[in-house]
Amino acid sequence: LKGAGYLEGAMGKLRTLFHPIMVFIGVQIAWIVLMAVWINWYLENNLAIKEFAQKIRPDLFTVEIQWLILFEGCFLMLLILAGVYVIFVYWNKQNRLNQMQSNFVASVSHELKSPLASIQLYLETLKYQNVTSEEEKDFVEIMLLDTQRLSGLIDNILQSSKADPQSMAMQFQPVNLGEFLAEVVKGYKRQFEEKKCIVNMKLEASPVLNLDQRALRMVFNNLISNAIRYSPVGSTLSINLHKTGKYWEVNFADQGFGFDKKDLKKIFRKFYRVQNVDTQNIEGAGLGLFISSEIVKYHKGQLKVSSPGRGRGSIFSVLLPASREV
Amino acid sequence: MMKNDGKKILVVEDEAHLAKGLQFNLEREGYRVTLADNGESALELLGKEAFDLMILDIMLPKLSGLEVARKIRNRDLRFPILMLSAKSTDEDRETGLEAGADDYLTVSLARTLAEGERHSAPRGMVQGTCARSGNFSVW
Repeated sequence: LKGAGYLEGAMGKLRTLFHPIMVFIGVQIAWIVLMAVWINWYLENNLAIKEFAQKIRPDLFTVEIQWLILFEGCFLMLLILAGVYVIFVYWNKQNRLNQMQSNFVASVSHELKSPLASIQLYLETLKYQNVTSEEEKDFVEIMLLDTQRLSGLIDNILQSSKADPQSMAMQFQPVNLGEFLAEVVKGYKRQFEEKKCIVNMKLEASPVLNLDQRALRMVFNNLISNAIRYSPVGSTLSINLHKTGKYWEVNFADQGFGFDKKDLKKIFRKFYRVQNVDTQNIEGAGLGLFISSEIVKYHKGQLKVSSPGRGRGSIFSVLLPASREV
Repeated sequence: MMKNDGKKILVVEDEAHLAKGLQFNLEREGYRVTLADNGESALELLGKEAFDLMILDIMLPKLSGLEVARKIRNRDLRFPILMLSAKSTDEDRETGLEAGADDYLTVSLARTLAEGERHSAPRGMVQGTCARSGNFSVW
């Protein structure tokens, strides 16, 4: 056992030694030392080189130290250093992408499996248990919600693969924002009940804007389901629609787990997931906010977030330009 | 006469739909079911009440199912724990068993329950692996 512990310690040390940053620093030190040695050698042996050159090619001989050659050598060394640096940066990037991809696959497969498991459970219940027609209706409703969740996730995945300006073709049409928002929120009635979530909705007005309704539904769906998922039972979600300056603003203020300042900037990145004790076991693909912000951007609007700190809720604001008003 | 004598089961599952489905099926089999939606409240409940069996989801907010199982075994509470997860690789299974679970189920309980009534194999499944916690027939 002692041997095993020792081996583990040694392996740990070895891993630290081969950490990309350590390798990078090591390579840089090696080059700089090499360069210093070379300059030193060149300066020290300048005389010998001169003598040697005089013997073979007297025409090449100059009295001065050949600064140009020294400079060229240094320049080449610097180029190599820069090359190593570029390789290192891209290598790190690739590493991070690989890591993100495997995280993504793991969390997406879990995300897909959970609603599927629920549907399977209820279908089996219907098959093997005697249920009253009321229970049956209830189960079917639950299964429908699960299929909705599945299709929402699949939408997110499909959308994320084409979230670039060329392929994200928006189809704008006049939409009554207030009515549309109320309709989306209504669809979550059951999920709100299950989490004993109180919803306060305030619509200051109900403007008709030129929007892509299908895309915007994804935005609202993502924000509402995040608020439900990342809030404790019995919390309040305030949704309000009002005008601020040149924008119509839809606010989603939850009492959920909130964010640290360092996470606020990163949460709209593709695949990014906040890592902390509160949320570590809540599964997600890290796509919802990325897609939502892209969609809002294509409406020439902004998706903003603020949070007073971890454990103190967060506010997501969808800003849609008032110039879209019909 | 009620089946299963109203034995008490603690179901720890954060997915409301799954929890509800499990509760429905288990209650149909005559068990008394208490639900907890996270590991901390499950441990709290265990401090107050005694249960005959625990069905524990692995992916839980705050405290994972594995940590809950470890804490329970550290407290020397000896009742069967069934790990429940959508994850179904051998590795997941092993980690679950190492943490102190008695068996590892992927979510297809309705069938296990109903079939268990007719066949003896599922009944033996849990019984066979509960050496640690004594003989306890679940289904």
